[in-house]
Amino acid sequence: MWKTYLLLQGNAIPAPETIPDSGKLSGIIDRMQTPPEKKFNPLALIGVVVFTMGLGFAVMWLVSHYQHRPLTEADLPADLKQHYLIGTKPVIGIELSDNLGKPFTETRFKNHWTFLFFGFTNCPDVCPTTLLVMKQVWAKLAADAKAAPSPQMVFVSVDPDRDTQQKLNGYVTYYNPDFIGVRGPHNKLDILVNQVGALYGYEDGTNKNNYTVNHSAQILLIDPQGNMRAVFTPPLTVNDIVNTFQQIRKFHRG
Amino acid sequence: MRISLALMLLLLGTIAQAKHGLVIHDAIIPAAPPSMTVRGAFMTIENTTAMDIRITKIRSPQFASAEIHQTVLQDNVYKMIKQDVLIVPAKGKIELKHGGYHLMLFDPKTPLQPGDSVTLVLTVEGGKTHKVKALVMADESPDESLPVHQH
Repeated sequence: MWKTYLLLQGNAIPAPETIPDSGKLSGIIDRMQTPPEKKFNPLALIGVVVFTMGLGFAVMWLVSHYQHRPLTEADLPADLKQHYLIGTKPVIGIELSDNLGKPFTETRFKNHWTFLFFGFTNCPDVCPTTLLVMKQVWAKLAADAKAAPSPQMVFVSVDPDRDTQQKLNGYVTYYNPDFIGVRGPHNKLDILVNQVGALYGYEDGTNKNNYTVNHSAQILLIDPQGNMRAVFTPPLTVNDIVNTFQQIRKFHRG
Repeated sequence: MRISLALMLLLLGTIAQAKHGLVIHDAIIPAAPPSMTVRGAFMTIENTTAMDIRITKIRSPQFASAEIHQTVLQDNVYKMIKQDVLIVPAKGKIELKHGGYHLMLFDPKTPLQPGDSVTLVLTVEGGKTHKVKALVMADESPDESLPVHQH
């Protein structure tokens, strides 16, 4: 019988000297005929654990992916909508210099929030007022208990012919020693002005020495990645700017 | 120091500065960086007469020249427009303040110090002149807002 069995199993009929003795053989047949015992399989447990962990990671990834998806206008709180700019619009190609005579390029925007606004030192009304407002904005933010780093305040002169480095330095540091003044020849200045959607111009028909310069009223906010992130337009109060900036900073990711 | 300046301001205000139907008060020159060669002057001008008063010229013995300007915010651009005339309406007033009308004073002959009194001479159409004393301020007024005079 065992010969037939082995043939059916596809095995070669062993040579007589290799045939196991009947005791062992019956043991083999017994094992083949009785169902296997129910035994605890460690591999199965590991499999289940790995699967669950895998599922967990997948869920976490999906949630994170959702949270970091590109923002749309629908995500903005209502009061930020008028200021916040969605997307990335890096400010680049800047080759100007600051009130200390150091180069001012777009690398100065990295790792800082920057408020940027335009004016000229021969301006007795609007520009001093803007600087006073930004001085108070700066002071309120510095007093913020959360002690986040202060934003940079950058005053860009639209009158490089009269605003020398020394004059610009005396002007901005009068309001706050940390304020930055930026100037440069018109062709370089225009690169910055055009990118941020601002403009400036000389009022026709005024005295050659006492000319005034018309300039954009907006205050730009540039994020720590160097992208234009928000625009503030008058009328504005110190609290408007402080509160909106704090919201933007909280809301901003990346 | 502050108290004495405040008292001076009060005194100047009350002394007015009243002549030919014009009453001028609170004439100030706000504090500014020492490097500024252009200063602004602000004040309130009242007209007690029944006719409009037209101010056509402004000068100061302490400055090389002076002009009347108006700040205008148009399409989000600040413009500073020279005015040939400043009209003070009959039985009314005009305020020279941040974001609106102001006087621009060019090139002080000697550097201005806080507490200084600057003489301004207003010429009215018809030739009569009117002297005003403006006080140079020490501290900036904590202006809490960005001005706007919209067109």
